[in-house]
Amino acid sequence: MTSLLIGAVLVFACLAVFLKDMLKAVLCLLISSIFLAIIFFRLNAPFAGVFEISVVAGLIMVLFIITISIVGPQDTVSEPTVPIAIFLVLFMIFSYLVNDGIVHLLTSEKFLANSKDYKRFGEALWLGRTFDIVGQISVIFAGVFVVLLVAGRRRNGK
Amino acid sequence: MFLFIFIGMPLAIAGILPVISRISRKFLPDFLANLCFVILLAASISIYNLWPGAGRFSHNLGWFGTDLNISLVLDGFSLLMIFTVCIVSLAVGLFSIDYIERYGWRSAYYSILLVLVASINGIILTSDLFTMYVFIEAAGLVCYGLVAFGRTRFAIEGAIKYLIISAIASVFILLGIALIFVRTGSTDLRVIAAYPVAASKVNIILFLVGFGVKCALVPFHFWMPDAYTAAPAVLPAMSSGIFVKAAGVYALCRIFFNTYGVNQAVLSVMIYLGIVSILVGAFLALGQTRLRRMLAYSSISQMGYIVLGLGIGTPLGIIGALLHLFFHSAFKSLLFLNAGAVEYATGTDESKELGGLGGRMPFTSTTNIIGILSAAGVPPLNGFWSKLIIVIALWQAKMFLYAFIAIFASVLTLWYLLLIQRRIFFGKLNKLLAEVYEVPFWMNLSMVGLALVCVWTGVSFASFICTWLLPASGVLIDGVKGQLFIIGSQFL
Repeated sequence: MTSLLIGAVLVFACLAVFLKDMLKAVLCLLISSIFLAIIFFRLNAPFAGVFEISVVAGLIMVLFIITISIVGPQDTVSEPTVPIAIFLVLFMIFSYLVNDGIVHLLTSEKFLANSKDYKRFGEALWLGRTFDIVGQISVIFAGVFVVLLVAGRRRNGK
Repeated sequence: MFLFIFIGMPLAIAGILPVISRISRKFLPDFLANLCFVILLAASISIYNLWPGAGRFSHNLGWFGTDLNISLVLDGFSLLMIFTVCIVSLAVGLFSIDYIERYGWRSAYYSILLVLVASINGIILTSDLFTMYVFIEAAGLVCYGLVAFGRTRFAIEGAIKYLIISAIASVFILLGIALIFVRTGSTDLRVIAAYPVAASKVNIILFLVGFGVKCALVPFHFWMPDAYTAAPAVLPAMSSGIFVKAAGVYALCRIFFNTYGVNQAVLSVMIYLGIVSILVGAFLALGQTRLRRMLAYSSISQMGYIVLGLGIGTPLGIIGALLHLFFHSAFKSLLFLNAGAVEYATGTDESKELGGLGGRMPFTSTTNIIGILSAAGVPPLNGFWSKLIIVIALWQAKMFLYAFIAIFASVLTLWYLLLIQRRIFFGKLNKLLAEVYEVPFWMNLSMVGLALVCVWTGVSFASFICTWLLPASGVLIDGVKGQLFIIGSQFL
């Protein structure tokens, strides 16, 4: 199961790199990070899972979406082919390493975290990290307002 | 609950402002945002009145008898910081009433200002390292947006530079938090304080670099001049006045003084960073002709004084540093608002294109002189006393060379700031500026208010030290001990 999840993380991470549409790329990254968070939960590290979701889904996604809204859909970026080819080679090597070593390492009992306090995402978030939610609300508010401000000014042509 | 209004109230008003603005575009956003700032200032003063004078109080937020696991911690240091945030944010809020007219969408602007205040209060009141990081990111995000709000090429460049350098700093801080979490199994500062093993060399370096960038200490200062030059003037006033101090100095103090415990090696690094920042900031400011760029370099230099004072490590040095932290918030916010007023009236802050504005803008000119003299440390204004205490602390610690450098940089500060005052406000009026008049009422009120704070805290600095400063410095002097013992939460 963990191998499948790691595979899903890698597939969506790759899609995030290759997709031309930036919004879809960001959504792929988001899905990839959610799979990563599920892996953390399965490995008994609920706080790491909560941090992964709150940082990537909360903080970094807002930043990306702001950037996309500032750049706009009409500004396409042409990408050179050489870095993509290099990335593919590196990715294949990395996938091999993950499959061969890291999955065994992660799933062996010896390396599992032993946090038994919170088993589910809800428990870890609501009972363990409640205050972070207030911070997340600040982040989301900040992101939304900044997008509205910048996009509003863009429409006005200033 | 009383303590939570410092975070909850600005956030709630930030959420409802865009909706309410459909009823009234100008009056209600102005009124609600400033009412919020007034209530927060009144709340901070009333908490001070209830304050027993020492100790550390924890408050767990509950909802109908259920513990919400939101733990807010208040001591003398956080109370001083909250008070500083409230004063500066009220001044900026009042200044914005007229100033933001030119930038457009008022409700969204006030909303992000309120989110910034809520996030800074969150940094100050939390006792958890990761929550602190989340609030630092939230406040940083608002700042990038405000920098880019200028929409000029330089504004976007400044925002991108700020974003990239700040993101690198965040990586350092996050890595430090991760290492601590691995070692201690917790991110609660009180738990970490009980584990001496948490203070590894790698951790110390990660936090010093991460928070050093947030403080804009040399050599991590590159983002500040670009970010501050192009943004609306309220951003540098808020950022230099309070954000840099909360996300940089406050977080640094909480970790190094209250959680790790002071360590001679760290103190030495802080002294070196402080001295280099003081000198480099002052010399770079000397060559600037744009008012805001000069003030940004001046901020780097003044942050150096604060870190230098903390680095001395003696009670007197810590008192001097915290005093300078509060005073710098007041006079630097005032100077940045003055720069905003000049730009509002003339359309530029390039000193070569200005001249003789003193007669046309008497309030701005007078308050600017007060700000400049405070920054340069001229008695009896507030900057003099904090710098004097830092120099005396250096002398007591037998650091004569550093004391001399601190005095020399103060003279440099007076030199470059008076130079820019003469170029902009004194002399003959530039013919192109014949139609320039004083800025509107609320901008003047805000600048005069901050100038009065500079004069008042300078004249009555002794009582200010006894009332607000001693409990704050006591927290840092107590070190780890202060972090571990919670007295109670009765009065909250």
